[in-house]
This record gives sequence, C-alpha cells and structure tokens, in this order.
Amino acid sequence: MKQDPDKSRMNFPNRALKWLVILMVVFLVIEIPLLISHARHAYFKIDGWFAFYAILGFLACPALTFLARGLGVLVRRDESTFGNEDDKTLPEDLDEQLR
Amino acid sequence: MNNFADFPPALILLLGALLVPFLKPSWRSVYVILLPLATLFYVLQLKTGTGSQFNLFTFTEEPLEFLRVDKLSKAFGIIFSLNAVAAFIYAFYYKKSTQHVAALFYIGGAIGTVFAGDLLTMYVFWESMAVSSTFVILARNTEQAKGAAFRYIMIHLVGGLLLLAGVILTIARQDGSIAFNGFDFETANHAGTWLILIGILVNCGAPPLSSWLPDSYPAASVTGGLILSAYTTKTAVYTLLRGYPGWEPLIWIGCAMAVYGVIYALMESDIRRILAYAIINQVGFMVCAAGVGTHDAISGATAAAFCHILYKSLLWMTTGVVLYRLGKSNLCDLGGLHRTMPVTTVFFIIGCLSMALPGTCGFTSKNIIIHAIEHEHLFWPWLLLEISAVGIFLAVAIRLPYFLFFGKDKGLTPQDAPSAMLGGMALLGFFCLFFGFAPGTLYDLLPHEIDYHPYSIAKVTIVLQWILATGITFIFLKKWLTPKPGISLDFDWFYRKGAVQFYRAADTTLNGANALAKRTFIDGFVKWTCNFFESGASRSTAWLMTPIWMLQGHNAEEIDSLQQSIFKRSKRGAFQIGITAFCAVILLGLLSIIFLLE
Repeated sequence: MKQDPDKSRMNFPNRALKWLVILMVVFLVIEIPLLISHARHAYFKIDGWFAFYAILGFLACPALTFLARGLGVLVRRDESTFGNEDDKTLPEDLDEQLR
Repeated sequence: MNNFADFPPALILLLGALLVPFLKPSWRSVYVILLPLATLFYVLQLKTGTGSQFNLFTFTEEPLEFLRVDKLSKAFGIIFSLNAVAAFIYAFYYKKSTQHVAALFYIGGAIGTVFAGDLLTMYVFWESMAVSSTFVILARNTEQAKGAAFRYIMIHLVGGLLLLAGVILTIARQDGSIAFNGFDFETANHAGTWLILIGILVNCGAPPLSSWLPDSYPAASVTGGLILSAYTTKTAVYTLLRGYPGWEPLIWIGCAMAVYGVIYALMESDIRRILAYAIINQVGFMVCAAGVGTHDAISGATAAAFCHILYKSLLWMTTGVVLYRLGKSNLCDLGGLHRTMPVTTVFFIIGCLSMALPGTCGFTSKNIIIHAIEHEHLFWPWLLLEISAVGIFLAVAIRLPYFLFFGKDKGLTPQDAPSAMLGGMALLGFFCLFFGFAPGTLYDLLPHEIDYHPYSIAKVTIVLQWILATGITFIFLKKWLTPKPGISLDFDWFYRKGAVQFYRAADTTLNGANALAKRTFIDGFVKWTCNFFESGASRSTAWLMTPIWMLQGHNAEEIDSLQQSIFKRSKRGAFQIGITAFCAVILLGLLSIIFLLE
C-alpha cells in the first residue's frame, strides 16, 4: 500500500529522533570499553575526544560522498566519450551458456 | 664467480610456461596450478641471507645477483606464489594457452623482481613484467582490450625508460656498482634515484600516472584482471620499501593516492573500475609507509601488501564470477544477486570485511601503518589515511555489495560460481580469516620484528566505532551513492581525448602548411619551370616568326598552322636537320668573317 506522503513527512522528525537515540546508545556502548579500561592512547589531541572515531566516520562519509558528487559533475561523462570500443560479440572468457 | 647453489624461483614459472602450449587442455589447467605451487614450496624453503650470483657482463664490477633472499623479498615471494596458486585454481575452466603463458611470464617477472639483488637484474625482470602483462590484457581479444593494452604498454614503456635512465645514472653515481639497496634521502638524492622513483611510481599507480590502472585491468579477462590486480602495484611497493625507505615526499604521494582512489571509487559505477581505484587507495597506504620508513612502517607496508593481495584478489574473483555468469559489470545493470549467488555473496562479504573488520587480515595488517604514522606524530598523513580508510570501506565494503548483491532486484537469475572458481575463492577466503585470527603467523614473515598487538580493547573499539558509523551513514547517503551510468574522466583524458585534439590540431596546421607548399611550389613554381623549359623556346620562336610570316603575306589560319607546326616539332625535337645545319653554317660563316675582320 502506498504511503501517504503527508503522513510520511509528519513522521520524519520522529524517525530522525529514533535514529539519533539509537546512535547515541550505540556510541555509548562502543565507547564504554574505552572509558572503563582507560585504554585510549591519544597520539594527537583530537583522537582523545569522546567517540572520536565514530564522529570521524560520520563526518568523513558525507564529506567524501559530496566531494565525489561535486567532482562527478565535472568528470562524469557518457560512456561513448572515448568512442565505442566494445565488440558486438561476448569475449571467450565468459560462461558458454551466456554465449 | 658462478655460484648457482640456489636458482631463482622465477625460473620455475618462466621455463615452465614454455611447455604450456604443448599440453592437452585438461592437463594444461592442472599443470599451471602445479607450477606456482612448486614455486611456493621452493620459496618457503629458501633460507634468508642466501643468494646466487652470476657473472654475465664484464663491464660491471659486481656479479649479477639473481637471488637475494631476505625477509622482505621472501614475504613478497610467498604471497605472489600463493596468490598465483589460487588464481590458477580459479581459472581452471579457461583452457586457452595464450593467457596462461603470458600470466606465468608475468608472475615469474614479478617474483624475479622481488628476488633481484641488483639494479640490472631488477630492471630486466621489471620490463619483462610490462611486456607479458600487456599480453595478459590482450588475451581477452576484444576491441576494448586491444585499446587498453596499447595505452598500457605505452605508459609502461615510458616508465621503463625513465627507470632505465635512472639505473644508468645511479650506477654511474655509485662508481659502477650495480647494488640495489636502500637509497639514503640525504646522500643519494640525485637525478638517477629520482628517475628510478618516477619509474616505480608509474607502476604504483600514483596520480597523475595512475589512469592506466582503471583503464586496463577492467579491460582484461575475468582471470586476467584478477592476476593483474596483484603483481604490478605490489612489485612497485616492494621496490619502494627496498630502495626508498624514509623518502619524505612519498608520504604525501601516498596520501594523495589514498584520497584520489577513494573519491573515484565513490563516483564509479563499474564494479571492476571501483576495485581498480580501491587498489590505488590501498597502495597509497603502503607508499605512505615507505615514506615514513621506520621499521614498523616497513613491516606494516609488507603486511598490508600481503593481506591486500589476499582480499583484493578475493574481491576480483567474486566480481569475476558475476562477469562470467552475466557478461555485465556495471552496477546500474546489476542488483539482488544474493538470491541466486549465495556462496559468491558470502565470499564477497568476507573479502569486503577483510579490509578492516577485527578477525580479518585487513585489521591485523593495515593498522600497523596507521600505528607507525601515529608513532611519528604525523598528524595530517594520519588524518588523511584515517578518512581514506573510512571512505574506501564505504565505497567497497558497503556500497558495492549493497548495489551488487542486495538493493533493487533487476530480475537476473545467474547460477552461482562453478566449483573451480569456488575453490580459488575458498582458498583466499580461508587465508583472509586465518591471518585475521592468527596474526602471529603473518608477523613472523615481516622484515622487521614489530611490537604490535592488534587485539587490544582500544584498537578493536576504534575500528568498530568507525565501521558502525560508516554503516549507519550509508543508510542516509544511499540516495547520493546510487550508481549512475557513465564513465569518469581521469588523467587518461589527456592522452585519449587530448592527444586526439592534438593530432587534429597538428593535422590542420602541419598538413595545411604542407598543402600550401604543394600548391605554391610543386603545382605552381615547378610546373611553371617545367613548362618554360618544355615549350619556352618554341613559343619564343613562334613569337619572333609571327611578324615575318605576316610580312610574307600569310593569313591568320596559316600563321596558326605554322605556330602549331613549331610547337609539334619542338615537342618531338624534330626540327628539319637541313635548315638547322644551314642556319648553323651561316652563323659560323658570319662568326668567321667577324673574326677575320678583327
């Protein structure tokens, strides 16, 4: 059944809040061993921050994704840009049933 | 001095390859597995500190060293042989000898390079790799493969020439010594070592000399791509670890490779091109470690290269199964394959997780490099490599399996992998987990003893934190990571498109100048000169005679006829001899009278 778009929009803050709570719990759980064991050894200042590597993952992924998207606007082209080098027949290294 | 107590292990593959075309196809598939297996056993029994030398050239002061066994060369020799065994088990279905022979020469060249003890031997094996790997690409026999192979060999010939120039200059600077040991950044910083370094970086896939890798590897066959993915870049890493430890520029080159590889991997939609860019990313870590140059960094890079060969080959194998069964490699055309290819999916996930997850070889190896960089307090390289590690996990370990095996079902129902392919994948999958659970076995192979314990609470927690964050972030970023059809322009644009434009510009200007010169000189001046000497005399005669004929009373038609007669006679050279002789006698008589009067 198709979801009502208005209803979906209304649910959005609740869903985001739910995810946020889940994330907080997860990071707390993951950070707990470090907090208990005092095992963290910071070579630089920032890697001693609370849940630093989780924050790194959270920031690095969107940053790289949007950087790739931005660069994609400049460098992504149609597949025939360099001319069509593909053969009509399938290469011999593929499954015989396919050929 | 001839001391062949131990022969180079490359000989097993190089000489063994010569027999391949003469064997029956069924025997051939078994034979090509036995050759690297024999090489593996031979390498394992080689004792460190041994070697074999051979006086081949009289112009070198030292003998050529075909075999130098130390822990660094032995570690690379083991993984090269082991990977070759798995690759040929996987390629059991492929019966044609061309690719097998080329692949055996290529792997033999790689093993020869890592056991070479001097610059000349290293160079010869290095170049043999370039030539034989071109035939591995060509073996697919498609137009795309032919084009990629041509570009590949051109780039590698340039790299090889730079390497040769560097080798010659370095030998000259070393007073004729061909020794290949670590070049010191302070004392051996000259044109020769820099040329060698550039030649090596071409094979590493360092930008802007990197685009040959994503161009050629995906153009090779299912097994060709698998074999190529392991040797060229890792041999280059070996030579960096051997020759350039502590060369600081390599730290930044490595970081640039890591970031560049991850951004392109996130953009790409072709599964084999994604893996090709992931190779550049991972090799960046090793190049960076070579630049750091400490014992931990060198051992870390060796461990990373060792394990990278294992899990990257496993990923090439699994994606190769998809290509083999469906003939497709673009994520836009694929999806939902886990339903019909469950075993391949499992092996793919093992390969993906082996990049970082605790319990796999990536966790126990790559983190040594990070650890070494932390110890040297290199903040920016550390941060860039950490970001790259997160990014490549997102691109290869999450995005790729999601859109390939899960995600939207495209209605494809291929069979799972054939049993031989499964055998190859199982072997590598086993070692991916084995070196993850028993890292001590791996650490015993490393060139320097390291004080590194991967399974500490801090190290496991740190990796789990960013892996989890990456996984959760993917849910939100899925929309922006959805593959789109098309290709990404890379540095190859300059020689693929740019060179075409250059050719056209040269065609227009140079051929235009040529055409102008032809019109002016060939068609104009030369033609006029020929005409002048051909008919100038007869036209002058006709022009001089016309008033005389008019005075004699000839009409216009007769004059025209007389003129035509002169032209014809001139062309034939058939003036009447009597008249000519008479004129000559008159002329001579006149000259005689003038002479006598004087």
